[in-house]
Amino acid sequence: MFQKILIANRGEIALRVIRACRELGIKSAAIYSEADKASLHTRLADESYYIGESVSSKSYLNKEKIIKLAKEINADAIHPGYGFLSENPDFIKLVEDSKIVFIGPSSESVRLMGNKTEARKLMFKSKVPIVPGTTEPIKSFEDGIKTAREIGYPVLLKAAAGGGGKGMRKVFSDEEFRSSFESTSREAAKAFVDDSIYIEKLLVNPRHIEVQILGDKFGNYVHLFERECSIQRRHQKIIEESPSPVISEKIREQITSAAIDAAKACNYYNAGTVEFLLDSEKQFYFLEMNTRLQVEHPVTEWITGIDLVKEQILIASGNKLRYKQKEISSHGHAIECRIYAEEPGENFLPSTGIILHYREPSGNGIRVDSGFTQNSEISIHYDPLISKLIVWSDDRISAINKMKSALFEYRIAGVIHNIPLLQSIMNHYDYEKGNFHINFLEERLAELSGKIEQDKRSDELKASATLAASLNRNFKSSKMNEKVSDTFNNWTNQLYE
Amino acid sequence: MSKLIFSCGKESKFVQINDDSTFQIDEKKYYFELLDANKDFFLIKLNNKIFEVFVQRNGLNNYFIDVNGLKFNTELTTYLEYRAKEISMDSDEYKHEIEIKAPMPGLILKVNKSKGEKVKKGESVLILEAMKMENDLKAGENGIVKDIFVNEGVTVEKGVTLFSIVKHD
Repeated sequence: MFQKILIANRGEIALRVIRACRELGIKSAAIYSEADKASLHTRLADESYYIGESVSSKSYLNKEKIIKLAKEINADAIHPGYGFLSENPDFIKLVEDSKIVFIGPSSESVRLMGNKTEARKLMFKSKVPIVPGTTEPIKSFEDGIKTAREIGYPVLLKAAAGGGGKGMRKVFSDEEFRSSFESTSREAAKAFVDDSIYIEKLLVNPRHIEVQILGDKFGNYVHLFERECSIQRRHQKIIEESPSPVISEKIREQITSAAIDAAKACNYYNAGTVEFLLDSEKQFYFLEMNTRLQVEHPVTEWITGIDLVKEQILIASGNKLRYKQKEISSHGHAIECRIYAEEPGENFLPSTGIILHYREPSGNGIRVDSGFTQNSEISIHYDPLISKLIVWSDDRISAINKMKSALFEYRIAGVIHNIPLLQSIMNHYDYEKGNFHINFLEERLAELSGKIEQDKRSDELKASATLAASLNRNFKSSKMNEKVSDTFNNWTNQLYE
Repeated sequence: MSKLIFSCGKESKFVQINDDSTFQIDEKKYYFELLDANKDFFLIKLNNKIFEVFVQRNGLNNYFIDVNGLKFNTELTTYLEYRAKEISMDSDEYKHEIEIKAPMPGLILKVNKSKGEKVKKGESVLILEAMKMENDLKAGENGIVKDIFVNEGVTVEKGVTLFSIVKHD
């Protein structure tokens, strides 16, 4: 077993890995950038090392520096979390060459699946269904527009090296093609250093269903059922659950076995996720494989009782899978809401600032994976995910009710966040009925925001807001930082000039 | 304490704190209890319900308020300030010119329009990149670009005026 693991990430996922290390008796080493010197992950790790300036390219994306540090501190493994270098085959190759264990798949598997056109070709060969479109990158704007016409609009332009919803655009006509082509290439070049893009037929209102798999280094594979992740904005998930409310036993069997075929095709080991689109005819198509731990892994952990990060570490250290497929079963229903610092009313623009007040919900069946606390800063440099709220209950409806209650308790002040929107979705009739698809949020946004505005019309709510603003305006400057709770008897005299 | 005017969206109301336990919004009187308070947090009891209210003052008169997780962008002014603003709003230029500010800090990736150019509602004027995402800043109305205050490649802070549009159909 490993003695020390370097965690090449930040935020809630760094904390998640730190916890698994501590439970397994392994030392954890955190890295942090300038912006993160006071962050929670640096405080909870056994050791913390400064890695560079705030901008990711000089810190969390600095391959050479991270590997050099790992050697210096005698870390025998690196856990990449998600994002940053987790799916960078060059980084993984460097780690492998340094005789440090990468907690994840081999650089070859990642390279194969990381290039979306290569992956599509491989899946086609392995009889895993793929979305109609090109299996080669498009060479030029002219080439692209010709292909788009052949496939038929609407089409989706996607970065061949892409993922995580970045570098992706819907195109509905020839007129839109040029500007979309340009900005997709630009975004792809910036985010993935590779500007090649390909075209897929845009499926009309499909659902996003993904399958969690685990594989060891001896060719054994298991699946841990599906996750339903159709509630998205900007092609990024915000609500995930398991099981999916629309998957029958028969489709579950087919889709999970397709996922294992996909993993086998690239000689995959460690934890991975195979993403599919499911159309209204209940046909599923391979979308991509995420060759890392997913943000939404807690949903699967809860219904199966399997700790995915521990399993990742055990597999990486050379253990055989601890479970046979028939030993894995699914219990109850789990839902995750991603709490983002962002403004749904402003096209989900990320919001930055200091978290002035922070209080998490608690209780039976509630889990919060958070990377922040009071006085933490949500900075411009990184992803605006504040935390993940996960609930579990016997069935879907009681899980939704638990989620509503937990969201009601959750208080984050100082940055704009999406909790009111998440509440609005949880209260929506179609969400409750399981009647939604990947465009649900975008299509229903006005309706969902309208519901929030309606809640804000409560007279008492407005009155307390008005009162608080007036009190704040008249707060004596000399009393600014002083609590007044002990001077209540005559507080007006204390507060006002 | 003198009367203040509380504005939220299009709504404006008089507000007055009478004493330790009552305040008034327009004609309506409320009984309250202040259970805890510091500069940006007030724990208020109204009709046997307790509200957690966070207040961030932004500049002289703007307040960003969070009550039980719901957000209000508000303004609190004296009657005189309120009237002065009303009068200036009546002037023609104010009514027709719209300033677009940076919704968040970022990099100006591309400027698609130039000064004096006609724009249609929904057309992209410039692209602001933040957190590796491209954000299209679009014209909110049909009109003419009156001014662009930033160049490609410049980093801007939140709230900086990026461009202005004069409404014109």
